[in-house]
Amino acid sequence: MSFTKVFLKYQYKIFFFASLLLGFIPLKWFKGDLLVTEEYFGVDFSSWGSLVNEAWVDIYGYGGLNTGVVFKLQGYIVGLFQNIGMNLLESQISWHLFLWALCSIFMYIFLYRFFAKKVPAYLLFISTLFYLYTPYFLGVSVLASPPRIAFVLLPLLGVLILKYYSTYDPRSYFYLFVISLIFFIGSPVFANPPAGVSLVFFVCLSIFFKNILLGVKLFRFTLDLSFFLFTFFLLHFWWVLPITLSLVYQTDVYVNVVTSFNTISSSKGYEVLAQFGLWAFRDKVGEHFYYPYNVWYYKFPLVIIKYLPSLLVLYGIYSISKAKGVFNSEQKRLLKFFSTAFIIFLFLSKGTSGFGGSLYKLLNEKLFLFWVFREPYAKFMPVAVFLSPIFLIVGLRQLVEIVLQKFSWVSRRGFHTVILISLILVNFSIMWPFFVTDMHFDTNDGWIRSQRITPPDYWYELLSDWSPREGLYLLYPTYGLADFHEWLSGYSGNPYGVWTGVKTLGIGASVDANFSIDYNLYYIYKTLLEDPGKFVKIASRYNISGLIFQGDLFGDTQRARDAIRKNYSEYLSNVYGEIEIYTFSLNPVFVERQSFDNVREVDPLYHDFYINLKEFIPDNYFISYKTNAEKSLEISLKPFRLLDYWRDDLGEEVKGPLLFDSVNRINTLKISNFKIYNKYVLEYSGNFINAQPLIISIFQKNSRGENKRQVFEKIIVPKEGYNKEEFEIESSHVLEISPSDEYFLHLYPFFTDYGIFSQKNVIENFKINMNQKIISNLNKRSADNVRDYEMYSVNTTRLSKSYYAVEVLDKGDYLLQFKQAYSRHWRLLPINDDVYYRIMDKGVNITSLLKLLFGRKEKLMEPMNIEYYSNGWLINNLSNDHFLIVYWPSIISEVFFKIAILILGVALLLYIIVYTINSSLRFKFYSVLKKSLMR
Amino acid sequence: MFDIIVFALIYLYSKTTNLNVANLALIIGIVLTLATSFAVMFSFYNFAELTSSIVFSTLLILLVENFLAKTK
Repeated sequence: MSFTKVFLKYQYKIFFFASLLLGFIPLKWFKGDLLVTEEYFGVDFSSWGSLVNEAWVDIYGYGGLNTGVVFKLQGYIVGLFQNIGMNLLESQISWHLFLWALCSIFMYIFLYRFFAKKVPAYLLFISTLFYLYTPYFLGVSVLASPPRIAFVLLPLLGVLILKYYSTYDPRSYFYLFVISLIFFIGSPVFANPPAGVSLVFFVCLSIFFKNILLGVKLFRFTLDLSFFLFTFFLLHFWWVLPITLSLVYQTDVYVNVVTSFNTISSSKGYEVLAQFGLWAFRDKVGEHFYYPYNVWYYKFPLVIIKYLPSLLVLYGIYSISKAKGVFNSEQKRLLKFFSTAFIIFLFLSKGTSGFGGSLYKLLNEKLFLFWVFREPYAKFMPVAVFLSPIFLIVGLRQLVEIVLQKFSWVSRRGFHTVILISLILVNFSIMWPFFVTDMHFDTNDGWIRSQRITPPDYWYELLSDWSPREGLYLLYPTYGLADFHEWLSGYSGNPYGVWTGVKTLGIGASVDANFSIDYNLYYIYKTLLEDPGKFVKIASRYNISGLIFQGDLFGDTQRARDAIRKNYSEYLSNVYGEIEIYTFSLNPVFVERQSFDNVREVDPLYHDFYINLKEFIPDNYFISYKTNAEKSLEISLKPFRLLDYWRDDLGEEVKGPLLFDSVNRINTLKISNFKIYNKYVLEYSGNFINAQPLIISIFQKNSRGENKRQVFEKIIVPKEGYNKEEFEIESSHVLEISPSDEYFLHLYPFFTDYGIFSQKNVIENFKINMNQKIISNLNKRSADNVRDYEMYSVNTTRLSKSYYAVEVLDKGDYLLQFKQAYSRHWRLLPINDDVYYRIMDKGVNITSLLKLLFGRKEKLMEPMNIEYYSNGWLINNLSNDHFLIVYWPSIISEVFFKIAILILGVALLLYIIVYTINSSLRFKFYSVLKKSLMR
Repeated sequence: MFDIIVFALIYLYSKTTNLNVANLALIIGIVLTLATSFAVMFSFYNFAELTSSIVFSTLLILLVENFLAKTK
């Protein structure tokens, strides 16, 4: 047999293996270094199985509602790699290869199933290549797992949709059920809920299309959709619950975040057409490139090449009805669905821009919860990318046939070879950054997140040597949840939490945006700096076991290091390179007993007078708060002060209209007498023509005029005329103890893109008033909110993140203060002594917990908010001296997760029995299923 | 509004000139996709946005035509 014949005979197998090989390109990326990405810049995914496995997470600060529970399975899978002996780097490589290789073969299989040998195998290969290394990932994040999992799931969903379309008998419910199961296995895709929801929408659209548009069967549609949604929610309720609670109780936070991004809820049509989006390319012509190759996408010839696939897709959609006799009626029905879905998702990806943009705007404003899709490109594009290879193949096939028909002298084999080679060249030139690892940032400038990280040796030493205590470690200095580490590579994140599992405390102490906790943080930091004796005394009251001095952060940390060393030298317990660890207390105090005398309830109306209250209430008082704060009062003790001059970077006074003609020009306003711990009102007015969002930030500069750190940043969208922004500046940052530094307000465009700013972004008569509302007592926010008194701690056992067992030794009336972040979902369960001892002996049991929680007549009390951050219950006339404190969403989440695992297990078992062991049994099974469903 | 106008104009033009709508949409789509790429190359981003918008409307026309093809 000749080579050609062998090749033709095995072409689908050959290109299958070639496609599989494509999935191994990520091997090139590592080069012995760890790579981190936007998933909280986690270094070790395997730890996530235990860090985020409950609906409450307590790795940072005082804990919070865990919307990251959906990462659980990802943690378990990577944990599996490490359990079979892989080290950290090997497990990272395996995880990414696993995803990319699966993505590649699933796509190839989907295309093979759909086209069923009607097109040459190389077209399947080319399209798989196009799908696998779509520029979409250059726009979001190449390494982020959730979008990559979406890309793995999509072809699988595609195969199941093919099956679902092929039958109207009860078997179609089986496929819908398998779709729900597939979503369960790929649940980390919902780590970004809107992105995951768009895939669910795709499935719902397929149900609608099959039953309504391709045959009007309203009853069948309702039944199919209900069945799919029921099985979906049954298998996914374990993560849907925390996310829903978070959406319901923190709507304001979400709305604020989304609103600040509202203006970018569009990607330009010309970018989306070539599967490029907004994120990475917002800086495309600016001074800073995400990666060097980026610029070539806007130069000849690549700028033309990158539009070639969209031309072929366009031609493919055109050819659907022209390719006569090629596709059977079922394929045609599917092609109609796929082309409609493709165009819907492509339009949605553009957001508010261009053709159809007004419709998107309407949806955004009128459709319930549609605002969650704040980056339409990132959320909707995956489905459009998944569907485009189908039309690429249809278009190419049709093109080849037409050319061969019209020009009979053209050799069929030769022409196919030319097409194959040119398309490989086209694809490789578009995907070049993936191939040469160009798109992994390796920046070390303290701001851009580095993806390739090289942790210093002392970090590995810390990992192997240090045994942290159970309590919290206060981070100092810190900028918040993520810090900029000056490693060989740079690193932006919280390596303590995401790598070592040490619980840390820092600004933004709540993981779920319970900002009021920061009030306590300011108190803690101020005491740390100003009253070392007292700090050591109160540390355990705030569950602080120690202090981590982060000497490896960007910036000048020497002065702070000296100050901390001087004051806390006797507590210095470990030194690892630049990191110094101070240890204060042995045991954390999770639960404390307080006297009723210490409790005053304060109306939310007076929250802002909280500090003032301290002045007229006697010592030793605890304050509890009502939590439905809606109003607040302002106190201004000094008239507003007007700052009235503008300077540009060169110190020249700026007059006349302000025109952003250059991204390099940051307009700077010096702020005299700037003070941390004050409240500011920024008023500005002007004629804003075509105004784009602006960034207002306040920088601290040293005597040489260098930016030392940013203390404040806010994105503003100027409205015509008068605008007002209010903000408070509080800081835990080390550099604030340098009184000689000056502060500057910077104002610069959010979009540093000439393309956008060439659009007449003129701001005339811009005027800023920087009003410093000096609230005399705000400086005393750190005034003792906790007095020095004898502690009455109780025996507390932390059973898990969500369950604590408590034993109170002296009976009587008291307040029980529980020092995890306040949440209305915590419950205090009085239990009998024997239940307590059984739990201490054998641990908690879900069934008994459910009985304890729901099997009682009296309603359990919601906690009060104590001291702005913790939970408290007033205990009076209660004979119990044993309690359980439980976070009830965790119980529900765990129950539903177990149900889902059980369903998966049973389904796999049935699959093995019915499909692989006995084929005749399969038919019996189907006939029984069919009969029972038809009945 | 611009969305509907472009969409309607192409249909209207094909009806008055007796051209096949799908063929016309394909030609406009191809020409304007190329025009988009050149506009991006020369940094005429507003023009690129305009041409790409028309490409999107041609995609929609092709979709509609595919649906109508069966009934013709």
